[in-house]
Amino acid sequence: MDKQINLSGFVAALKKNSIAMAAIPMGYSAGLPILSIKKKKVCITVPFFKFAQVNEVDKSLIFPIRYTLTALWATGKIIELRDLAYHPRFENVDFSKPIGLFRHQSIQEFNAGQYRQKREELYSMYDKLIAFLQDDAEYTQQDESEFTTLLNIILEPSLVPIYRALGDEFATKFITEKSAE
Amino acid sequence: MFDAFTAQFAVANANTDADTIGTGAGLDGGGINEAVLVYSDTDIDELFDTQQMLSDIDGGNVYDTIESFSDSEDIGYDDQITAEADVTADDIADIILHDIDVDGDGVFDIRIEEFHLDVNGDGHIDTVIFSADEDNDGFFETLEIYQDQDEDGMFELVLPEGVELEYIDPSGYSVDFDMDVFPNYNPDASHINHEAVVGDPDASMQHWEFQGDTNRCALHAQQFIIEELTGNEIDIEEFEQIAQENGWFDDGTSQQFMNKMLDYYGIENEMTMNNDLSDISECLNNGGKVIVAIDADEVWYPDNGSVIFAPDNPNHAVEVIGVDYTDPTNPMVILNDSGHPDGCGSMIPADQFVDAWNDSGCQMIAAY
Repeated sequence: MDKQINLSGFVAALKKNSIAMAAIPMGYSAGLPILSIKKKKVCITVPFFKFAQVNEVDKSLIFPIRYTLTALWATGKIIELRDLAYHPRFENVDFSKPIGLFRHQSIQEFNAGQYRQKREELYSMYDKLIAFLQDDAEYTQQDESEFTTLLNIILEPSLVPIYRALGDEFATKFITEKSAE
Repeated sequence: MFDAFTAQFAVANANTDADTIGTGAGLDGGGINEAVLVYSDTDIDELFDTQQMLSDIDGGNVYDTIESFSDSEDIGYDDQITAEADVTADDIADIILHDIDVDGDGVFDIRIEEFHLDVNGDGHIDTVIFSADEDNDGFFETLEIYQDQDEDGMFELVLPEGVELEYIDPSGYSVDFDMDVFPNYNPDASHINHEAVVGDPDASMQHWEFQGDTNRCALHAQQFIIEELTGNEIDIEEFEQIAQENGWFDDGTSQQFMNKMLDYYGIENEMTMNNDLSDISECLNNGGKVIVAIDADEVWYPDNGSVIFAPDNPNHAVEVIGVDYTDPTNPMVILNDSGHPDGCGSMIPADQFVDAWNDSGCQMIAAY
């Protein structure tokens, strides 16, 4: 895999992977990735969930994350696909019911361009963190602070409990508690 | 400071020479051996393979720590080290640490830690925390908690708590379709040059159905085609059931399975990516039928001003039933769109359609 690829491109390629295209129904969007280390390798877990536009501008119903796809950063190889409907920790989750309403409080004031820019900044910080985890680059306290701030601005609050269940180490380090709005 | 070796002992088994010897040492001059070193030949091969150090760390005149060093493979050095500590002085090890060199390269590969706890304070161990670093990278890949909750002496694995979510009431929100968002094909419209219309949209429109609040778009698109090509009506409920039973539909259809019902009904078809409008036109010109995957938000809500949450997301399947080239500078793509209540023969400007189609990689199913 080209080492210059960024996380955004990595996720885009993952979505077009034949495994994803076969297992994940249309309409499921990729959420913010979870990073982890397995057997000393950086892994990227991409959650997939549905949302539905409704009759108000900037109001979309958010549904629980249903699928996750985990791949090795270095090679892009998919190492795990999960349908959470069959996962014991999610047996009480009703995936057909909405849990949140986009846009959430922390991005209310952004226009489309500003929102896109914040997402791009967040993905840049993801790239920095991945480079650090790969032992390729330095990573400062400032970088961590910036990543944490951006992540918690962009991340939909109603999805936080699911992120904690999917990646406790990542969530504990980077996701702050906030209530859904 | 060691004073004298105050005791040496040897234990012989019934058949050989001594297989266990020990030596004790006093460390604080108090006349009590704070440490005892025991060598054992556990596999009775006349080589001492295990040594244990029993220590009285807290000076309570009771051995509270045991460290075991074992050369389990007789390779000349210790490949397993176990340390047990009785921190509560109840003669039961509370903390047990294992280091294991699996491949005999002199480097410990696995670290296992166990903590035995009396959580309810009744004097019996009721909780064991087990963690393992299986590749010695400092990260414990396994963390398990076992509890004897019913005090039957059997420890059961405690599973992580299930995820509980708060749901919102969607009744205040609805999908309000704009019934004027696009025109519909009217074969009787005077402005249409029928010579310039590719496909037979009028015939195809007879088979359109609205999918309602379901995710059956890909099923409907296939249903429309099968009905038109075979002349047989299809019950969508039965159609869905077949798809479900075969794993091709689970609250939606994946891009890879958008043609499976065509296969099931023996309709010849081909799925390809990276197509363009000319590919669609060619198929329709040849009497074929076309299904594509698009981002429906770009068709249904082109200008609603929302901050789009997930751009470039294929979320819908439609049948393309024609292309109207009456105005060659502004071709209109004609759809049978089951997802919109006004989707029968809906007409979308080609540029807008291609934008929405791009999000699926211009996936196309050509059926004959």
